[in-house]
Amino acid sequence: MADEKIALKVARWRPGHVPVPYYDEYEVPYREDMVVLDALNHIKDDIDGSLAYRWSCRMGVCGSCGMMVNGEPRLTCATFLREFRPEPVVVEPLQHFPVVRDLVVDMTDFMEKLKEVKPWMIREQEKPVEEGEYLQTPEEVDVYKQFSMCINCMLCYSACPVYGQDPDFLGPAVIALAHRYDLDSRDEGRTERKEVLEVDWGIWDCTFVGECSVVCPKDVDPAAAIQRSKVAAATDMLRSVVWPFGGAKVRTGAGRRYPVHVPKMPRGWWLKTAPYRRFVARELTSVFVAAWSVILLLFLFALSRGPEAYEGFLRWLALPAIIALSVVILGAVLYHTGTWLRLTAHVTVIRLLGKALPGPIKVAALVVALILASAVVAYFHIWF
Amino acid sequence: METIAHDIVIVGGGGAGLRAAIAAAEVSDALSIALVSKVYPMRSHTVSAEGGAGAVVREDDSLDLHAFDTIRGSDWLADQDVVEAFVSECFPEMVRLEHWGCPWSREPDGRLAVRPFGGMSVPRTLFAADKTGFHMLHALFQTSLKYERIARYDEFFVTKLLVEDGRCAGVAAMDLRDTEVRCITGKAVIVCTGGAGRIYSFTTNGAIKTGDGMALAYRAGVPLKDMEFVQYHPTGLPGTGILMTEASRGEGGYLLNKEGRRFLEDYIPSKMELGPRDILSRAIMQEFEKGQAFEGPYGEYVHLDVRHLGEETIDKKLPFVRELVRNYVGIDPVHEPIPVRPVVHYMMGGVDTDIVGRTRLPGLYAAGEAASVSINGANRLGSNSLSECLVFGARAGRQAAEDALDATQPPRSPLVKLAQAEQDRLVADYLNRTERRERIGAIRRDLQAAMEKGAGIFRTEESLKETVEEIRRLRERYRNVSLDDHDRAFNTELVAALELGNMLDVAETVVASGLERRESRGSHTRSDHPARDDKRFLKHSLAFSGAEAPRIEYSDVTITRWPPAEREY
Repeated sequence: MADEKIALKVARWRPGHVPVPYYDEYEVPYREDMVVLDALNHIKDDIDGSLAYRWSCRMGVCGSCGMMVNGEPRLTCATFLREFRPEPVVVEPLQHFPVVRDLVVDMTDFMEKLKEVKPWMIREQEKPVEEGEYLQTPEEVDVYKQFSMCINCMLCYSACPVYGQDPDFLGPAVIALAHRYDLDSRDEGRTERKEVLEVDWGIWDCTFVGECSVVCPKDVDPAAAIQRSKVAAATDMLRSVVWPFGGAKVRTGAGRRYPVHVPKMPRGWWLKTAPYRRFVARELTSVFVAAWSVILLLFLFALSRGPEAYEGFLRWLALPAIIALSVVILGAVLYHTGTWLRLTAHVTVIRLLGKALPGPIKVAALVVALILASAVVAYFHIWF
Repeated sequence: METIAHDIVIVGGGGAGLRAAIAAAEVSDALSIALVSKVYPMRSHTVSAEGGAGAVVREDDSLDLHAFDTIRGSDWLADQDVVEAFVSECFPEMVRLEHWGCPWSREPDGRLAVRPFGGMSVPRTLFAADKTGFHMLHALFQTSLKYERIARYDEFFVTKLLVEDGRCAGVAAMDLRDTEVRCITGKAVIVCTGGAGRIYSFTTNGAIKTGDGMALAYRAGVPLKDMEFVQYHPTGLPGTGILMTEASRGEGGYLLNKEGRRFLEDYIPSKMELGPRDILSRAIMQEFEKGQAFEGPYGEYVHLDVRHLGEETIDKKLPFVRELVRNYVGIDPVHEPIPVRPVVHYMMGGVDTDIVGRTRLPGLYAAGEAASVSINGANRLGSNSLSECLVFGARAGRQAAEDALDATQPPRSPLVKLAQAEQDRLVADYLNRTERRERIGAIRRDLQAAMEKGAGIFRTEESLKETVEEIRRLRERYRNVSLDDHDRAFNTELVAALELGNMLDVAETVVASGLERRESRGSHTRSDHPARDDKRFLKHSLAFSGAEAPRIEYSDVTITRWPPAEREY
């Protein structure tokens, strides 16, 4: 046990040395209860003091030590080596961020966006301290609590392909934080924050990949925060019938004073992880939904041209190739519906007796609603 | 050399530093404030505080009772005028933080909720589940963002306080991005850099807690007060030292020895698990000695048992405890007891300040764990430190702002010269030295082991003297330290070397002060002097930087309404 070792492959980069990152390999003593950060500390203390990375609390709350571990954004203080053993562990800086040095990424962009959404209490009138606290029931705390748990570790930015391609995107954590203040019963700043959020590079940039919520170590669920913000924004729009024009603004990145390495997203990024593949599959099924709509339109067109055209259309439908296509479309549409039900349940909050309904119950309710609706349609179809 | 002029320079971006920055900003919008921190503010160690913040909230509570609990907890070493000011400002500070968005836990009717805590006679600990420090820090940080006049210098490491003509007038701050020292000047400098738990092997403290501000002030001639008082938290995880909040006992958790017995009935039957930390930590150590503890890969431990609280309470009140134990011990506290041992948690001592945070060096202020003002005396009560950050961070910020409004900007050129000398020193002593001799990590480990062994919970003349010698040897080795990293971009090894220098200074004051205090009081337990000795030692110790070793002097403790008495529970 005492002599067991584990290998680490660590990405290195320093400004002015080599243009692209390279890897150094280290072997460190292994214990069952070691996390990736322990291994990095061993390297720094006993093998190579020049390795640069950030860390502090080593209990998953300060948010410093996020890195890519075997291709996934993780907190290294909460990622055990035993998960990978006996394979070597590959440690790289968080992807989608410019690299300052080795495993240290540039946070400037994130910090500026954080400030942009005004993450502080906005009120028309502040209550004097002498008058005591604002009352807020435990249920009112529960409404926003989850979104106040963000430790700014930026794993969600690293997981988000939208941010990877469009660095202007406000990004998951920042939008979740704005949402946290919007939901707080003490805050009155939602209108002010709308201007920042409801723009092309804000909530509308998100395509709901959902990977931000998968990697979040604190279960903040920024994906839900963004979709809920979209729902709220759309509701507002319907209410006022005034579209918030914002797309004409141009963002300018802050001038950087220091050299950094800016990594590019590889062309095949969407094949890289299972959640990305699932996301692309979901988006792809929309094509089949569209295809079925076209078939329906053809059907209506044939119907309008009289019984012969209709008969011809039915014959066309019975062609083996078209039947095969229909089966494929059915499968795709069912898959699409499944994701839609799951995500809708995920995004909507329904409160009953002060408690939020759990996800599975909402999915079940939606499935029941779907079956009922189908039954009604079938009833009219068969008996009339 | 780049010179940047501000009115107020705050070193450290944790609870006290952020509170000081906001307080100063609110005094006048004409003031420009620099917040200089070696990490981004939300990484500061305030983030790890779990249990809560103390303030008088309930009808059955009173300011006098909070003051008395604090003074009794301090073993009568706290300054009572300071404690009285402190307890009266705690609640307004909590309300202020509430107005700034802190998600405090609430009563069903919407008022702020409180929980019981060790050494407090009635429940008076406000909390945000068991991530109180995290929520406070983020609320403070996010609120600070709205003040344009607070300029942040994130990831700047302060290497020296710039003192000219008997006045502290700025800092030499190294930008980690390019290892260039900047000369940041100000009419007032506030040190809010937190504690120094990292000088010990087993600590709840994060890597950044290396006593930087204490060492900076000490080298500038300001004494460090009551440094011998190091708080061991009774319940840390063996090995990692991760904190199991006192709230787990506040909510009803038990401490059990290997027979499964609540052994505290032998030590402090009236308070049991809600006794003060020094007494509980000693009790656990005595159980170790009696052979009543469990043995594990990281030494002896006892059990913290919260199973009887039930899953619902644990998830509601102690979710972080459950998360940490599941992740780092691999068991579920809902079904299994948690292994715990005493671990270093907090420094009662720190930069000697008056009641508004001023030090004896004009222009220099301190607040938070870095300071000793002193409300904690020989033993701090749990939940007083978050309150302290707010109350005295605000006091120091306001005082510095008011003093700065009356002061003129210090002359630039002598300060630039001092900062330039710092840059030259970093290059000559660290960056350009290539001969390979001593590793930072090795010296640090030896320092931590020596402190744990000789200046831990129980101390003797002999153990402390040995530690003095060991630190002297480590200092010699430190002179020969050399870096693997000679790069200018984000040189974390250089930072580690400078931190180690600070740790050695601070450790030396802990041991020297402990050696001179030949009595047992609060957290300082001298096995060779087991009784408290008010005649000789009802005094604050002051460690001044000396040529060879720290010079220890004493100052009086302010007693107002609570004459020293036996510390009975």
